[in-house]
Amino acid sequence: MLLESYTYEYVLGLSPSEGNANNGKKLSSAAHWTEQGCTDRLVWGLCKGSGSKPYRVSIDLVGPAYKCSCPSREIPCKHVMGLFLQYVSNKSGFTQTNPPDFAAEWLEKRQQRETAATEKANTPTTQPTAKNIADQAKRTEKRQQNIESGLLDTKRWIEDLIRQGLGNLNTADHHLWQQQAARLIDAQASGIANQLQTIPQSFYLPNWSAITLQTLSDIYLLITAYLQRQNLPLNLQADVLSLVGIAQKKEDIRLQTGISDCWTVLSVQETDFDRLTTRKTWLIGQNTQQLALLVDFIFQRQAAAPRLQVPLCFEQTMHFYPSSYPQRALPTNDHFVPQSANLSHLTPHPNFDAFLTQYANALAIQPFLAAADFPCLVAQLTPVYLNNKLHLIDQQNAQITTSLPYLFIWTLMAFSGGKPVTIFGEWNGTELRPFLAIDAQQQWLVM
Amino acid sequence: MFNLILSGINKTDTSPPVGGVRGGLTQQIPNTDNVDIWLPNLPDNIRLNSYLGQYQIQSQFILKTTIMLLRHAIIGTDKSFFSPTDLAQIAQQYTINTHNKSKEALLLQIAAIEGVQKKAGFIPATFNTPLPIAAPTEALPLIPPNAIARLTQLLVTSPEGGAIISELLNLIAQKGFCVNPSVLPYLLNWAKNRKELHPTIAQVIGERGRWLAQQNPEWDFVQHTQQPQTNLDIDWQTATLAQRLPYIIHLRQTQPQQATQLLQSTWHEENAEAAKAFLEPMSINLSANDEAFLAMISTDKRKTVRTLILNLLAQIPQSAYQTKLAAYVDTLINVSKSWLMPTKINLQLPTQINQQLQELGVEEKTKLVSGNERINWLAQLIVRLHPNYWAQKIGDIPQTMSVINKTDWATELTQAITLQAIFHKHDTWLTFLYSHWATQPNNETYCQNIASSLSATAWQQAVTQCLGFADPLLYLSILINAQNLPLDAPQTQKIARLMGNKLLAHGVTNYYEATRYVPLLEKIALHIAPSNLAALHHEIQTLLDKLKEHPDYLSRPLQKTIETLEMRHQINTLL
Repeated sequence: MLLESYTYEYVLGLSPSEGNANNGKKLSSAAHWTEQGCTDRLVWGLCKGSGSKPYRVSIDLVGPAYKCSCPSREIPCKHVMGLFLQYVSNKSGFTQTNPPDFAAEWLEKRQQRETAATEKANTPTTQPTAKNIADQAKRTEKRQQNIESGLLDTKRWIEDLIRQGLGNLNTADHHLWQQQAARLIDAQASGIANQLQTIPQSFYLPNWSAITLQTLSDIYLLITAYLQRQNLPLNLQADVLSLVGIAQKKEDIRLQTGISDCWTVLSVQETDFDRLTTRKTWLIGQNTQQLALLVDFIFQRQAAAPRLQVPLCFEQTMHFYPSSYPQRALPTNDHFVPQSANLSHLTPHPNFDAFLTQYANALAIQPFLAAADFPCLVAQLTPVYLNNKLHLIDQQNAQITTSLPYLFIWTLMAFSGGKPVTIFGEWNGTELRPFLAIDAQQQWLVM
Repeated sequence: MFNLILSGINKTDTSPPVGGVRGGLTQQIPNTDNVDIWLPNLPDNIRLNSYLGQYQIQSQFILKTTIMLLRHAIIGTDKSFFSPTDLAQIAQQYTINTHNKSKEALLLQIAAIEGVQKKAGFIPATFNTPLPIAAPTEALPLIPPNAIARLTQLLVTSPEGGAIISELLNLIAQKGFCVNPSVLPYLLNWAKNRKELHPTIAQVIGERGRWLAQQNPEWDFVQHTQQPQTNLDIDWQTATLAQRLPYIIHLRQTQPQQATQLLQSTWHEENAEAAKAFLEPMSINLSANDEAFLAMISTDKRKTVRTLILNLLAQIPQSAYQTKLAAYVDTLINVSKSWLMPTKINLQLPTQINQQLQELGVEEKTKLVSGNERINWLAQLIVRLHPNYWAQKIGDIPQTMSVINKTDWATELTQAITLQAIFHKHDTWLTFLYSHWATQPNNETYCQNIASSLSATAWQQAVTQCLGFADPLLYLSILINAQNLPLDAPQTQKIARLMGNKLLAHGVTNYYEATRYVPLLEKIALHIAPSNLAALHHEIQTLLDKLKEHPDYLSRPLQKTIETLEMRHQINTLL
C-alpha cells in the first residue's frame, strides 16, 4: 500500500474490534506518549501503561505491520492503534530521527524475512509429477469417503432423534450435540457441525422444539443434497459443498472473472464464538448494484484484513464464490483506498413486497438460503414503536418486525423522527435486523 | 429443485419456484395475530403461537402441517399414531418421492420443504393504525460534531461523570444549541433518574428529543418537566394531591398569599399526608403575612403536622411564637454582668413539661444533644429560637461562646446553638461554629452538617478560614465534599500546594495519608471555575512531575485529575 494513502479511516479499519478502536482513539493524543518518532518506513513510540516501564510500540508502514511490548493478544493492540492514529492525523508532530534499538532490530528482522520470502518466491516451482497427481486424487477420494461416512452417520443419528422424539431434548446433556458435532469435524464436515452446535442455543426459548426440528430438517436436507450432489447443477453443487464445510482456496476464487466497481460498505458485523470472530461485511456496487458479502475469520482477535468503515466506498474487483445465487466474494487484494461516502447511487426496493418477491425467487434458486440471513435494502420505511417492538412500515402500509437491541431501537427512532428512511439489514425469514439507515438528506445511521 | 435434491431425479427442474407460494396457496387465515394453538395431548402443553409468530401464514394447509409435524417430532415417530400413509399423503402434496422412505425421513423432508415454503411465502401484516406525526423541524441549531462526539463518549464510556456531563449540557443550553438525534437515546436514558437535570435536558433535546420522549413511556419526565406547574386551571376542591401540590408550589413562588388563602379554605378537610405535603412549600417566600394562618392551625392535633407548623412559625423572626420562645428562655437563662460585661450564665433547667412548654413544641422524649432530658428540653427551645437572641441577651458571638464555655453545660449548649444555626441557616454563627468544631475531637458530623448549611458566600469564607489552620486538609475536604461550589484561583492554588507538600512528606511511606485527600483534588477539578482550570492543571502537573518515580497509587489519581481538567477545558472550548 502506498504510504501516503493511509487515512484515519483506514487505520481505524485495521482495528480487530470497536472497543479496541475506541481505546486506540483515547491513546491517540500526544499526552500518553513519552517519546515518538519516525523514518520513511518506521513509526515508533513509548506509551505509558500500568507497568513501571512504558510500552514500546513500532509500526512498519510497509505492510503495515506492528509490534508492541504490551501483553495484549489483540493485533493491532490499542497502543499500536493510538500511535498509528496519531501519526496519520498529525504527521508533522513526528520528527524524522534514527529509530531506537527496539524498533530498528524489529525492522531488520522483518527485512530479513522479506528477503528470504522473495528468494523463495523467485525459485521456480517444480511441475507436479504423475505420482503427485495420483496422490492428490487419492487424498481427495479419501476425504470424500470420510465426509460421506460422517454425513451418513449424522443422517441416521437425526432419524433416531426423530424416532425417539424431541420431547425432552432441551433438558438432555448438551454433550449429545457436542459429540455429534465432533464426529462431523473429524469427518471434515465443519459446516454442518457448526449448524448442529447452534441447536442448544435455542433451548431457553419457548419455541425451542420448533427451532430444533427446523434446524435438524435443514441439516437433513443438506446431507441429502450432498449425497445426491452429482445430480445437481454445478453451481448448486458448489453451494452444497461450501455449506458442508469444504472450503475453496482463495487463489482459485481469485482466478474467476471479477466484477470491478466502486463498492460501498453497507454493514460490518462481528460475532464471537469461542476464540474465533466471524466478520461479515456487506457491500454494494455503485454501478452494478450487485451485493457482495466478505467473510473474514479472525482468530483470537488478531485481525487479518482491515475492518471497513460504513459507508465508505472504494474501487475494487470482487471475485464471487461459485453459487447458484452468488453473494460471498473475495476482493482481488486487501488494499482498500477509501473514498468519501456516496449513498445517492443506491436503488433499494420500493417496498417489502418487491423485496420479498426477490427473496422468494432467491429461495427458489438456492433453498439453503432459508437457513441463512438475506440482505435487504428497502426504501421509504417508517419506524414505529408499538407493543415493545420496533416495526417498519412501508409505503403500502405493510409492516415487518425488527430485531434490534433496545438502544438501537431508539437511535433509529431518533434518527428518523417519524419520517421514512431507507434501511439496509438482514432478513431471517421472519424479522429484519437493520444495520444502516439513510434519510432523505443522505445522512446515515449505523446500527 | 426439491425433487432434484431429495430424490436425485436427474431431470431439468420444471417445478414452479418455491416463491410461487407467495399468492399461490390462497386460503389465508384472517387475523393471525390471534392464532393461539395448544396441543393438549403433549406433556408440556407446548404453545405454538410464538413459533408461528405475528405474521400471516399463507395457507391453512401449511399451518396444519406445521402443527402436525411438530407434534409427531416431539412425541417421536415410534410412539405417535402417525402412519406412513398419512405422511405419504402429505409428502405427495409437496411432490416428494416417498418410495422406500422411512417415517422419519419423510417427516424431516416435509419439514425442510415446509420451512422454506413458509419463509418464501411470507406476507407482511398490514399496519392499520395511523402513523405517528413526524417530529417538527428543529428550531435550534445542532451542536458541532466535536461536541457530539465528546458528549456521546461521556455518556457511553463514563456515565458516572455526572458533573462533567451536566457542565456540558448547561453550556449547550446557555449557547442556545440542541443535541444531535444520535445522542438522544443515550442522553434521555442517562437523565431519567437525575431529576435535578430535567429542566436542562428538556431545554437541550430540541423538537426531535421531545418527539422521541413521547414515543417512549420511560422518558415521560420530559413532558412533566416542560409543564411542571403550568396547569393553573385546576379545581382546588376536586383535584388530586398530585395536581394540587405543583399548583401550590407555583402559587407560593408567584402569589404566596393566594396560596395561603387557598390552603386555609380547605385546611380542616386535609388528611395528614396532604397537610404535611402542603406545609413544605410554605417555606417558599415565608413572611409575617403567613403568621396568622400558621398560628391558627398551630394547635393541630396531629403531632407531625404541628411540629412542621411550629418550625415554620419559628422561621418568622418577629412572630408571636418567637416572642413567646424568647420570653420563656429568658426565665431559664440568667446572665450575670460585671462592668456591663457578661461574665456568667446561670441556667434554670425546666423541671417538667408544663402546658407552656407543650405549646412551644417541646417534646418529652426528643433527644437533640448529649446530657439528660431536662437540658434536651432547653435545647429544643434554643433550636427554634432565632440566633439574634444571643446578641440581645449576651453580646456578639465570641462573647456569647466565651460565657457559654464557662457553664457546666458548655458542651450541650454549644451543640444546641449549632443546631440552632443550622435550623435558621445563620451564616455568621455557622462560619464561627465551623472553626469552633474544627478544634474539637470527634466533631466531623457537626462539621459536615454545618458545611452543608452554609450559603455560597459563607462557604467561601469558611474555606479561606480553613486555609489558615495548621492542618487544614480534613476540614477543607469536608467543606468541598458538602457542596458543589467552585473555589477561586488563589484558594485552588493553595490547596493544591498543601496537598503536594502532604504527599511529598508522607505519601511515599504512608498509603493512608497519600490516598485520603487525593480525591479532594478530583472534586476541586470538577467544580472550579473554567477560568481557573489552567492554573490548577499547572499545579498538579508540577506535583505529578515531582512524584513521577513514586508508586502508581499516588500518580494515578493525579493523572485522573489532570484528565478531568483537560476534559473540562475541552468542553468549555467546544461551543
